[in-house]
Amino acid sequence: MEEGTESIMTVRPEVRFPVVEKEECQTEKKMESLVLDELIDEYQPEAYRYSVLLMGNREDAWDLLQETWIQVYKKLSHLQDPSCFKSWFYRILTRNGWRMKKKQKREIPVEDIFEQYEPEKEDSSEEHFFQIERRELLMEQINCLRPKLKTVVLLYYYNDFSIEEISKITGSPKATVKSRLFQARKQLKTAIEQDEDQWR
Amino acid sequence: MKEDRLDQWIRETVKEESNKISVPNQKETILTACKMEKNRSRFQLKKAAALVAVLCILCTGTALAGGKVVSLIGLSSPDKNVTKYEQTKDLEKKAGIDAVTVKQFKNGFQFTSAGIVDVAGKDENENTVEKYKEVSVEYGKGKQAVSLSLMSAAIHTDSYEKWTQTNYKDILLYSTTDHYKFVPVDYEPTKEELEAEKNGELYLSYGTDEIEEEDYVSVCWEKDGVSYSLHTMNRISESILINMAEELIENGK
Repeated sequence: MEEGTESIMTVRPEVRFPVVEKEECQTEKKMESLVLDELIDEYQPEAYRYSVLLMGNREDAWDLLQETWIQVYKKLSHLQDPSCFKSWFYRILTRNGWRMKKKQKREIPVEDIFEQYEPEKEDSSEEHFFQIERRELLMEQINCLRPKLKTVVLLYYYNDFSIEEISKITGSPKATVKSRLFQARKQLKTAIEQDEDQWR
Repeated sequence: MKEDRLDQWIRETVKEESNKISVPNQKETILTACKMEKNRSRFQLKKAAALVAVLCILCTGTALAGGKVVSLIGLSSPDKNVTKYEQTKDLEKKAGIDAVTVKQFKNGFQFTSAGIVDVAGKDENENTVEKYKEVSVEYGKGKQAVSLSLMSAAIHTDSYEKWTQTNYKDILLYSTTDHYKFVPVDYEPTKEELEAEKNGELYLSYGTDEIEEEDYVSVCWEKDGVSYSLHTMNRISESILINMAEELIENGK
């Protein structure tokens, strides 16, 4: 058993070892599947994209998500306030991601992540190409941020979490989250300005 | 946090660029993986002569102060378990008991670890009726394991109806063997199995991946204010546990 694990079972006078009744099991499984089904529908798309950006590639993102959903499924009954599910889920996802990142050896350039993107109708203006390059540069720079800075950037700008929520997800004090966000923002701004200067 | 135009541009860009990442439909794969993992975990829990069993066996039909206990919540911290036999006495003090244990039984079962379990007994209205501590001492021999549970006899008020009763040096020993069958959720029991379940000769537990049958053997007694329970699910017979119980009783003299 895991540390501090609670065991709950129904004691019946004639039964000395816990049993799971068939109806109880069927109902439990049905409820669990139903809940998980809905949760995946709601959270998977955004979580997948977050994972791809965090890990830098689709393969690791998929491994990360699978491991996370299994943990979520096993621990779902421990979540006392359902309204906190999103931040609780991202906490597990983020921590798993950091752990996997430590073991990760390779990085894939951000272009590979967006390889399936179909360009919109052509706009050949110089301004349009400039905008595209600026956006690509931003994503490239975000991908180059060290993991903890990248995490706060994604959670703040992509997932729209508040500073307080990011603090709970990452387990860092609010001041640290703000500091990392400030630092990341400064790095991104500097990189974009330097690139703009090159073209002047 | 106050945002400026740069923040707005970063937010807009990150969202638009990220939403270009296509999301494969992985729901069925995730659901299957989750169910398989949960079945595996549940099966392992049911198979082991685990803490869960300890709590159950000591409180079957227990009427603790304030009402009938229908469920138990046990909290344990395996990382706080002791691995030196000599430390078992400290755990007994925490549980308010002074028990007789051995470091090694004559049949070769040796002490492996011991720990405290904080137990809360709840009635059918989920009210906590009683709280107490138990000591769980684990013994091992090869791949086999036997658990010895200790608690204050003042708390434990079990009735041993349908248990086999023997007498050893004026101490009443109660023993029983329960046959369990762990089956998948869609398992259909036979007519014979249903009959056996009705007669209390078989216990069916649903939710595992594989079908497995196990005997859960228990021997209980009380001596000098302590309630003892030896139990296992490792194909060990009642007679072996009774011999171990007798050895503990002898040690206490």
